[in-house]
Amino acid sequence: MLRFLVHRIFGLLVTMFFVSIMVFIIMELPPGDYADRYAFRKFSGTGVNVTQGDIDNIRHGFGLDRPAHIRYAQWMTGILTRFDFGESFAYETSVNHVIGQRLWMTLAILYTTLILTYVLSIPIAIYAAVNRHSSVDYSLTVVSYLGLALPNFLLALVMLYVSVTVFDTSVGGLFSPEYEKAPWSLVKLGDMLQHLIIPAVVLAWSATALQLQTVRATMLDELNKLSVTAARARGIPEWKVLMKYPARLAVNPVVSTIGFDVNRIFSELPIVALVLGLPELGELLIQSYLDLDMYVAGAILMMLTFFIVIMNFVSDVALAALDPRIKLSGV
Amino acid sequence: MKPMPDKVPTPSDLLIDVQDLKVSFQTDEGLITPVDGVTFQVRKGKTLGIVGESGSGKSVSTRAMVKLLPKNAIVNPDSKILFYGNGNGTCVDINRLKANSPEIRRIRGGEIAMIFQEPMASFSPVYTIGNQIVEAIRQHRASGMSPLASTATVGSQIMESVQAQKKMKRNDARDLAVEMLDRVGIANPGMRVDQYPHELSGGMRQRAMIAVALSTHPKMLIADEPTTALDVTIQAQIIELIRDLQKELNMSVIFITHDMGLIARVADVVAVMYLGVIVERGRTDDLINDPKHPYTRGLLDAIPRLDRLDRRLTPVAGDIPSPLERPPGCPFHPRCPERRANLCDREMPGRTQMENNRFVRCFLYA
Ligand SMILES: Nc1ncnc2c1ncn2[C@@H]1O[C@H](COP(=O)(O)OP(=O)(O)OP(=O)(O)O)[C@@H](O)[C@H]1O
Ligand code: SF4
Ligand SMILES: [Mg+2]
Repeated sequence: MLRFLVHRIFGLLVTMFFVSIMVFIIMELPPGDYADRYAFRKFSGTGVNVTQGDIDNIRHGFGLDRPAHIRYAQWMTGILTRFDFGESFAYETSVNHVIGQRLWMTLAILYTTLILTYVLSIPIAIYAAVNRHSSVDYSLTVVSYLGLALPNFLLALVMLYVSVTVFDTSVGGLFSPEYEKAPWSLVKLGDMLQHLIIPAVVLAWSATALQLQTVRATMLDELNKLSVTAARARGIPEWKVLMKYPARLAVNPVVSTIGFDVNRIFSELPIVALVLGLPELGELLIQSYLDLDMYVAGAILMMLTFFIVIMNFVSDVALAALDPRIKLSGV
Repeated sequence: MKPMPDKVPTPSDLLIDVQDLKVSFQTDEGLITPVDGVTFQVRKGKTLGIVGESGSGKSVSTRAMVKLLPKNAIVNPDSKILFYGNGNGTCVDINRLKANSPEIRRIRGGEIAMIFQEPMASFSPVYTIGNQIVEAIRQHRASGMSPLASTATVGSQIMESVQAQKKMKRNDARDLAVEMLDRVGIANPGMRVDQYPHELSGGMRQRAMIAVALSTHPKMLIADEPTTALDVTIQAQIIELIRDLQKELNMSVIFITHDMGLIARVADVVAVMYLGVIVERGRTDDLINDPKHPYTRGLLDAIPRLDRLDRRLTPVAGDIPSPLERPPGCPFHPRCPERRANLCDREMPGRTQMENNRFVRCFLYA
């Protein structure tokens, strides 16, 4: 297991290294840079005649005149040594400051969504598989087809409407205004969860629908295995047989797709956040990329991929812990 | 467990008495009845061999004996599965026990153990061999029991432990598991106990399966084609092992197989099954030397004289009908070379009793 862990951690570091290079290349791709943009913003319509020299000065001021590989090295050094993602040109403050709050928001939504998805789909799907052809089983099929068919921005709008009109909760942001600056307390935590639940439900909707189907199918498969009959033949109580043998294996496909789920949540989040007015990273990523505010865009890209890679790692390790066949062959 | 008064006097060495067992399945195509009135007995310490082609209902009838059938199965409530496991002449009707009740679970695995055709699939791949043996031991055995004590004392110890609800300690159970693995001939059992099924060879896995089944000292072992998936040398070893352990534990065995050649070597009594009925039953010698039923004769003719062990049976011309299209009359009549027109295709032949507690279901002997 230790060898396996060392192996995977090494793989993770290598992946992150290549990701960082790719992110930097992507940042360099759009034509022009923030110096052009800045000069245009500042002086257009003022009648001032901007010369190439002025722009070069601005560029020098931002440090954008140095060659790309030097800038990459400086940027990475800052991140690795001081956890400093550089300066935001547009906000004229540090990237860390611009991203801070939104990072927590994004992570909070991500994990609430994941937990909600798994807490709902795994037990319900297992129950439905064990009680095949029961009413729960049939409702599961209907609900999960609905879940797969309904686009989630539509769902977001419906939830928004319902929560504002029926429950009278403020949506948008992590907290109600009265808790925004309050110190941490249980009430504040509750308030935060209340705000998280809508985006989490919207984002968990299709994932839950999908996982319900997967877990149910795997569970049905596992229930028919001879090893389950053999366990029953040993006189083991039924619930113990179910939990120890088929249920344990039925969660494998869920565990192995955690990374995939994270990926999907990150891609769907901007639209949902836009509808719900949530300050999260995806929206800022698009905006700063269009703005050529490169270190902000780069930091967000790095963070999002970092979490996808990390969750893939978690999924690999969990899978290896769940299934001993992987430990031996997978390294 | 409520012991039933023993109404019909039975020989004291009877362990299980299955009477008129009928099992149906609710399927999408309708109701099928793959076991249709099966009656047999197994004596203490003896081996009953059940032979028959695929689909004749061997597995279904033996699984019904411990209520191990899937949910869509319906066992006729009038069928009786009388188990004389108490050793005092009283019996329980297993068919009356509730599915998954503690009573049936005590019998299942504790008194009647099973091994299956596919040793790899019989083990869960995600737990060690030891884990699955320990599970069985702790389910059925109390602390302070020796690995291979005589059945009588173990039996009473099990009873006591069940009453006292004292589970064996995990470490003790593990030591027992190692001893069991050693007993079934697995070298280096201390290491094997912590290995996963995929780390063992096929023969070793079947030995391990036997270790799991016998770790609870059952009074009966149901071996459902235990050697079909193994090659001939291993097959012989496994059969030898089952026989040794059977003597040592004074255990009864039901040995299921396709292979008439194999049954001759292991069974005291043979029952030949065809489409859910026993068409002939008798002492192994009698049946092998003088088969009566045309189907039994067909099975015996199909054994190659020289290498008779490793061939699957392709005995009688024609295919086994699907359980949905059960032929009327004698179920064997579409394939029977000696069928009698206007009789065999209309009526079901009854049992014709013969000497040595033998019977045959065929109009040729009616
Ligand atoms: N769960 C089930 N649902 C419906 N039909 C079943 C079920 N289990 C078994 N059957 C049917 O019962 C019949 C007898 O099956 P069984 O497994 O007892 O045969 P068998 O004699 O053990 O054959 P084999 O030698 O192939 O193991 C088969 O026709 C099978 O299709
Ligand atoms: S009863 Fe008729 S069909 Fe059936 S085995 Fe005997 S002779 Fe053949
Ligand atoms: Mg079978």
